[in-house]
Amino acid sequence: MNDILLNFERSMVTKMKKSRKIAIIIGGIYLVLVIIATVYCQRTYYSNLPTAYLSKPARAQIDYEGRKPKSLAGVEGNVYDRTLPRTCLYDDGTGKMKVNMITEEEGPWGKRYKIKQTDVIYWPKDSGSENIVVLWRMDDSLPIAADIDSEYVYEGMEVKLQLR
Amino acid sequence: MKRKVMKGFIILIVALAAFIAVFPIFFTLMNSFMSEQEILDRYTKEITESNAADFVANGLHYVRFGLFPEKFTLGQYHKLLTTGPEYFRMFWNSVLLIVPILLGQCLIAPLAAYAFEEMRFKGKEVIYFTYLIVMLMPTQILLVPNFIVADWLGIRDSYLAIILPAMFHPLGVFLVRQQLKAFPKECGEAARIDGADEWNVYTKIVRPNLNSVVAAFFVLLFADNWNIIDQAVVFIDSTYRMPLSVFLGNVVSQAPGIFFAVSVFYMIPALLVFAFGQDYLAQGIDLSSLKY
Repeated sequence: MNDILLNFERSMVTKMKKSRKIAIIIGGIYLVLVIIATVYCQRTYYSNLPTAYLSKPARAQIDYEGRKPKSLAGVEGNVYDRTLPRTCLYDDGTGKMKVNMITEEEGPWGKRYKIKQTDVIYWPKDSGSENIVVLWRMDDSLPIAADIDSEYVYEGMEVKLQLR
Repeated sequence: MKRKVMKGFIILIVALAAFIAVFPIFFTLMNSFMSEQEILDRYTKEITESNAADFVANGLHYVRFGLFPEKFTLGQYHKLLTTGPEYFRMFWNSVLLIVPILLGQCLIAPLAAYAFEEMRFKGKEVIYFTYLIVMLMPTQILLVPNFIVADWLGIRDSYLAIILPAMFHPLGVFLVRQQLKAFPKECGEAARIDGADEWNVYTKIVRPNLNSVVAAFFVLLFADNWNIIDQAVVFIDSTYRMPLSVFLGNVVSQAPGIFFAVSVFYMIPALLVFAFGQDYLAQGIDLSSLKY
């Protein structure tokens, strides 16, 4: 019986050939390289993204010669609810002022954040005050970037977030 | 003389077949060393400086097929590394899919084949025949029932919906059973007389002798599942959870300049697995009494 088994084994089991060893070694190197490339790629990509700064929401006081916007909810003296830092405003080059809102979507590794630009009507228009009052904008549910450290900002631009 | 001519003719046919098989790989590899701009000039609709003359003369520009790049560069690979993490994420998705499928098959197929060959139970051959019919059906036909079952199990938008049917694919069972038919039954019987239970007979005597055929279907299944498209498109909703095989088609339209580099990047594992298992593949199929 042992002879039968040995003969069968001999016919089935082949020694690991040199080509197989080479394939395993190359495969191992390839795997390591892909792991390194994955980490490198993710880190490089993320570090090259422009930063969108978010600021904590706060009720701000607007000092504008005592005048108030005409229709604005939440007015108490000159302290307003819907205020933003003036840096949030972005001139799109056509004279319209926009704010850059942050949308969230699924990315390759976790969430990714993209810019959504929306026209805003704000007050005061010509003051040097740090904060403005937003009278109207399209979507209230999304956070607004206080500033973005990029020369060009466009709809759909991917950013990384940082709290200011 | 006649024999020599015949032999030469056969060699010529085989060489031609080998060339046809290898050429696309070589073509992809060589084109991956072209610059992004050269790819755009040659293969896309884009009107560039180098193909503008064509466009002016004919109203369109022609594809300039080329095997060797005008200038060798690793630009495509560099862009692949810096363009974004999508490709690597999808590569790992492919790995996430294929590893459990292969491990599961290597575990389940020999066991199932052993049961079909060695055990005695009612309706064995009918079950086996039914099982084999599944193997003969095209994947696309099985997609609808698989979809319904996956939905019923609540795993529709998950890798399990792809992994589970692939794990129980009958090909491995069929190949292993064919080999088991040639396995000397006396070995198992002798072991049983010596007091070995069925598990010991399988693990100590039968399974170690099935390595060749297991390696053979490992290669076949790898090729099949590494290039998975239909199942992923049907079951997976999110783009970033797709395997790279699905996304390769999008690369042509989204980033044509790096298509060849992505292709090379993706085909290396398949080539390595084939290099590792080519002897096993030939041997395993031979032992399974199949003509190839």
